[in-house]
Amino acid sequence: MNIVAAAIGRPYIPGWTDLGPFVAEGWLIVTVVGLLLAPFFARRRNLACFLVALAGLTAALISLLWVGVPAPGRAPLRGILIADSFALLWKAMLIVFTVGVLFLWRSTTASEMREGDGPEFFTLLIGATLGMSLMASTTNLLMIVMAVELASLPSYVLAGFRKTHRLGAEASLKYVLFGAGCSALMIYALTFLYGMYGTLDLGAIARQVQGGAHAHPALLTIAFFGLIAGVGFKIAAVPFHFWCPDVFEGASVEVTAFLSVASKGAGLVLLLRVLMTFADAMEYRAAQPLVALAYAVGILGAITATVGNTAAFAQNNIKRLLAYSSIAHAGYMMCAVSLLFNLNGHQTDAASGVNAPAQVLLFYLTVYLFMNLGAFAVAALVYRATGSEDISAFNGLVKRNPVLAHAMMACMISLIGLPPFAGFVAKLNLMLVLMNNGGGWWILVAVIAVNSIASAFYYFRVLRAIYLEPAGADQPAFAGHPLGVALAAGSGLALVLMLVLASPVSALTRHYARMQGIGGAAATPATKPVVTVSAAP
Amino acid sequence: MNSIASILALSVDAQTVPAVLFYLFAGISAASALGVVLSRNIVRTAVCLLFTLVGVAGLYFLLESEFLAAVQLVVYVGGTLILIVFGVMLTSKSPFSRFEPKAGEVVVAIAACIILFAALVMAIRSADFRPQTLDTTQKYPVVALGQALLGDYLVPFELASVVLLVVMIGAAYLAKSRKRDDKRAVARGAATLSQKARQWS
Amino acid sequence: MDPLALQHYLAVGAILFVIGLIGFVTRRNLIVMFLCTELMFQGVTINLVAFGRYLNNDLGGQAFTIFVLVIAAAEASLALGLVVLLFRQKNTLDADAWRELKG
Repeated sequence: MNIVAAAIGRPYIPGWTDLGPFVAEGWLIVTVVGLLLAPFFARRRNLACFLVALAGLTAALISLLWVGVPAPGRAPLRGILIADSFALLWKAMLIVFTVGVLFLWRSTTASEMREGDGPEFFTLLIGATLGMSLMASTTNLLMIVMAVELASLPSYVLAGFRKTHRLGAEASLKYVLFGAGCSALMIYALTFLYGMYGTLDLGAIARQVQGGAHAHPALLTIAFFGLIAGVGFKIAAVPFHFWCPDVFEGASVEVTAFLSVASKGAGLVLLLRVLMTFADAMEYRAAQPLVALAYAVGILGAITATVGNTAAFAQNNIKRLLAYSSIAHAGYMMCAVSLLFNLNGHQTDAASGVNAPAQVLLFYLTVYLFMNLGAFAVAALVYRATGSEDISAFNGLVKRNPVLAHAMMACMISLIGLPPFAGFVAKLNLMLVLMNNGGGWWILVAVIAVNSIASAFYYFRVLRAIYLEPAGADQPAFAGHPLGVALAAGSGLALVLMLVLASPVSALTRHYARMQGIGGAAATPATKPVVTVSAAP
Repeated sequence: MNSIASILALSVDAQTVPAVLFYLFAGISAASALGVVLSRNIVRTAVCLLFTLVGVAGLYFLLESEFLAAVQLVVYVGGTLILIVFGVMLTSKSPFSRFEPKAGEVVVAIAACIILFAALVMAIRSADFRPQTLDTTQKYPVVALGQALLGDYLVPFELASVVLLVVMIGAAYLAKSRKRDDKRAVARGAATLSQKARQWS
Repeated sequence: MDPLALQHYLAVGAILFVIGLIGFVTRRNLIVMFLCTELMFQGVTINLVAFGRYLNNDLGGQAFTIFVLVIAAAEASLALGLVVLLFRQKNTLDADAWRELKG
């Protein structure tokens, strides 16, 4: 009887009860198992796996929102995992986006994919999603490495999933080799943090760095360089971006969309949490390790944005163009992560625990998610109709399929950051917070402004093809898969809505921009906005 | 390590033996690591890596980590390296690689890496690492390692199983050949051919 | 004085890591490049085991080493799967033969 009770009622797993906030991750693991079993029970295996993945993600999203954020103050699972509102919002965004990727697959690649490849494809996709969601909720070095690898390894296969496609396999191998090198570099550098401070917990390490114990500047520099290299590889920051355009061109479009948002977002969220842990331990003062780190990330962000935008001019392939555009946007978001100390106050509001850079990042990611989903959906449908990924395939799209044309227009203008769409508020929010931080951050504001103006030229090339160029004789009107059209139209609509409802979205991200162990995370929700961004009339 | 000295009947003091063994193992691994990088013959490269891995396992023994040394030999040498050798066998028509980069690039890369190495060594020499005390009487109890893996590191441990599952599926997908499809396509082609033949007859 | 200190082991780790890095950057054969990343991982694990040993037998380093072995094995299987796939397409493994992707 005792054994049964022990097996059912209280299983002997240390920290079992702490797993409550991680039910969503549990659902993802269940989904992986379900995906492997589903083909045995269905004849149309690809469709069955699509439905299982969809159901699993829905269950994960519902349980994520149902369970919510646990009361702070406890370190669940011996401090290995962290459940807080910052991680929660990222996970919700990630799951919603992955559902979008599933629909994108359904509307484009599903008909090309060989029957029976579906189980593998969705297993890899859900596995990568699990890794990316765990990247947001840990400050343990070992767990960071495992989460990054769980996010990376399936991505390598996904990038080369079209085995018959020449570029796909080649880009995938480039990705895997470069990824192995970068992860070796990252783990090697992290061993020095472990050796100097005798713990794998970054919070404890940060407190010791603040106390000045055993700090060796050269080794600390190497450690942070490696950390930035490993995470920079995930977000394709210059000079770790070489894989990005090739992989984006070689992979099928829903994988490209997935990597452009989920992989980069997870890297940025991880980087923000790691750096804020250090910054918070040093109370956001302009002290030495922090200043160097902030400048390094800021300069890297500025270079990344500039290189991405410069290289995008020469591209004629829409997927390569969007790849460089996503590099540029990763650069903008890195600028937000560089806000490690504040000359005019405190990064974390003492009363509410709201972390201003986290709010900026979450807001930007929310908007970025819809911009890229929409742009890739349109690109995928145009490719399905014309068989070409060239920008000339968009010629006269406004006549051929007006809904897609207008959706693409919304995404492109939003990516530039111009007013009638939500990209404008995201970028404005970013620039205002950078400006308010004092110090040298106005330089980053200037860099972002110049980059945005420059980027308009290549985004407008696409728009010119859509609206001004006449359609060729071999470019007839097409309807497109209804699910894909709905996805593109929905993304465009979301971009409009998020501009009109900028204040609620801003308030939502501010409410969730609180991290456990950083600032006063235990405090009540923020009522007074840090930065007010009102809707343009 | 005293036991080794007594077996060898050497009249050396207790501290010399580990030092000699250390330099032996370190020399083996470093020399064969150079072999990995310099050799043009891929099979020889793989064999050099084998010696590096064995040398590193020896260093683990010196660090009183017998379990890890065994794992290194079984998993790395017995598993990963065999996998690599299979990869070499499956893919190399000639064991020599033909294209190699220009001398200029090599010089720049080596110079950069040597600067990095010098910086690393200087930093390591001058760094004040935490406790320098080494309790030579104690070894790692394997029991404690098992308890740590299923206690403190339970979550990464379970995650490792997910990683391995996903990677296994991915690798199987990549390496799986399309022969069955080809056969089916051939069969389909033959069927249409015979249909046409029937029409014509 | 103890003839062997932590620094000795770290130096071996650094040597293996940097040799691996040199090979990774300069060699052009895909399998050799991949073997060089294995060398880099060996440098990592020596560091971890040595740090753990000299941190009063802290188990973190040992546990981390086991996970690094898992990661290295996983990367090996994926990379070799891709290598076999590519070889079927092209019959060569020299990176310079793969000029179809621009940098």
